[in-house]
Amino acid sequence: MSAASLSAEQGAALEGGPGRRALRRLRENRAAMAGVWALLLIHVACFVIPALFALDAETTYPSLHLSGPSAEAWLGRDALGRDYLARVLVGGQTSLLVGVAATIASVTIGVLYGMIAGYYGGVLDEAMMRLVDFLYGLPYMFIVILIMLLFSETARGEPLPVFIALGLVQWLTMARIVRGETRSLREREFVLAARSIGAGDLRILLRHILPNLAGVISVYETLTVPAVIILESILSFLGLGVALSWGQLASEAVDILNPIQSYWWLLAGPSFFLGVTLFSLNFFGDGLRDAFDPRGES
Amino acid sequence: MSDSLLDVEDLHVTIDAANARSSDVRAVEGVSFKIQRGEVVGLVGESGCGKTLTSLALLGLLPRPRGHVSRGSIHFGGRDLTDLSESERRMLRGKQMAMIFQDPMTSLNPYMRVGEQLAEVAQLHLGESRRDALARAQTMLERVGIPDAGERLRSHPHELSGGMRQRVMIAMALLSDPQLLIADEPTTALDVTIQAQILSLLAELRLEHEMSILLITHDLGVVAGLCDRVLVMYAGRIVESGPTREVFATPRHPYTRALLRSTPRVEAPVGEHLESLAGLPPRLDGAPLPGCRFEPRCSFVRPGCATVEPELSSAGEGRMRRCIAPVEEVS
Repeated sequence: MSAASLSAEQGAALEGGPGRRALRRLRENRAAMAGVWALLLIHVACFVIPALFALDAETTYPSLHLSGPSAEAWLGRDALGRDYLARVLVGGQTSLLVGVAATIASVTIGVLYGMIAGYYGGVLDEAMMRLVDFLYGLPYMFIVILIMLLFSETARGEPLPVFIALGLVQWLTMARIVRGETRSLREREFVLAARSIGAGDLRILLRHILPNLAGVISVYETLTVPAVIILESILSFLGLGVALSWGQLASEAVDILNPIQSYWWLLAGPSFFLGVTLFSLNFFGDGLRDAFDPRGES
Repeated sequence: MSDSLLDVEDLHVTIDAANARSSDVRAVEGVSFKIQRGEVVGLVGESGCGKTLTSLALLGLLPRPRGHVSRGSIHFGGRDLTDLSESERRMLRGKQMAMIFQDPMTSLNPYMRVGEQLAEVAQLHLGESRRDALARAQTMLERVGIPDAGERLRSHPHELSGGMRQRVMIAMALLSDPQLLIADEPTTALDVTIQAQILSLLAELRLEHEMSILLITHDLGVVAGLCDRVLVMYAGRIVESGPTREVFATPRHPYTRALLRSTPRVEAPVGEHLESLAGLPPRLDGAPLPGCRFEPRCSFVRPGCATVEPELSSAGEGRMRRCIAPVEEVS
């Protein structure tokens, strides 16, 4: 191999494309990898375990209501006597799905919008970015609540309106980041070189500029997922979210909370899962950012 | 006219003002020249004199949205390029006219494999499948002297040295067998031994492909080695043109003379004073200067130089100059 004359480490650092090198640096980052494993565990716990062990999140046992953690119900039972661990895991499915789906929606809109504004520049860019500034100026909670109210009573509690509402407020920052990055990439010589071989705008945007944006996009995406999960929890807390999610469970727990009987497991369960997910995503995001940073190359 | 591949007439390039406080920049004014089939023409001048903008105007790649051709015509293979639509010009770019750039470190996309970038040309212009395009790319890489061409197709640009990357750029430009190659300072970013290799490669390929080359540079040595004719630009205008050998032996414009005198020579005695040209070129925004643009830095000033700009006029067989000082005095 060409790396024969170099030390093994140097050779490894030089091999592969920028994407593959970033992946290798990510693997060397312990905090980020711990985040990745924790996320994997949480996904398995939420999506596989309830089905595998036929956990029942709905059947009520009024006689056992609000009983503490026990051998049958590890996280105790809620006010209607339902198995709280099952509810937390099943609720996690929604939280994670909302996080990912709303992020994909916002990333798609934001990247397209930012690339078009940044690449074409001029009046179009001005107009597009002023719209973003305007939307930024509105309180996002206000927009989300408005969008949620647009859906009829029956649709409320379904996940789709939540995806849409969250996606629509989350794309603004992504659009700004991508627009700035595209503006600087557009001036790079390889874009001029691509134009000099007769490549059209679409090809330049998709084949030449988009891959160069991959780093920023993926890093910002890992920061958007937790933001969306938190936002969904806040909405649930306010009674506008999805029927069963971590935010919803925490909200119910707070209602029951009182100074005489704490029922601590009701709040601890969803909060623990939410906290671990958010921490892991943040570590993973930080790791990705470092991995894509060219200065990290030794 | 009949035999010229490229005929540029009275080309004006303007860069619009960025905001209300600045004014338009007249970067290129009244540039006219011809390139015959198979001819290598050098375009020299200091930084900012309009060399690169002239070449970008030929390709239709002036910086958008502020740069544009404000006057003049560019006839290429009998067609006026300024009349063509953007999509027609796109079909010309990379197929009939190609360009190589100054810095091979930045002119390849860091995220794309070398093979993909080369194949893109063949896919765009020759309608070839990815597989045929890659095969063609490999042949071309071998032709420009890249060892292990098959292996290199799978490399990313950062794995290649500067000289190798410039060879890749040349291969990319030649892939669809263009009639005109515009080389914008192709050797400036390379070290001297690699420079010589790249120049001799260009000289070989030019004969092999019967291709015309417009070589843009500020290095007179490069011009001397490769060009049949040379155009000297100053502050957006051509000030002198003619066969390379004659222009170098007997410059007829004070600016060309000053350029030649400020070129270091290996055979000059150690410690000899190297002349330099004092002052800076004029700004090209704001009100046009009335007289000759070189007048403030010229050592052959005549009465009238500061008020009337001289025309580009004949100065012997195949030579032109924009100066009123007597020929014998300047040479």
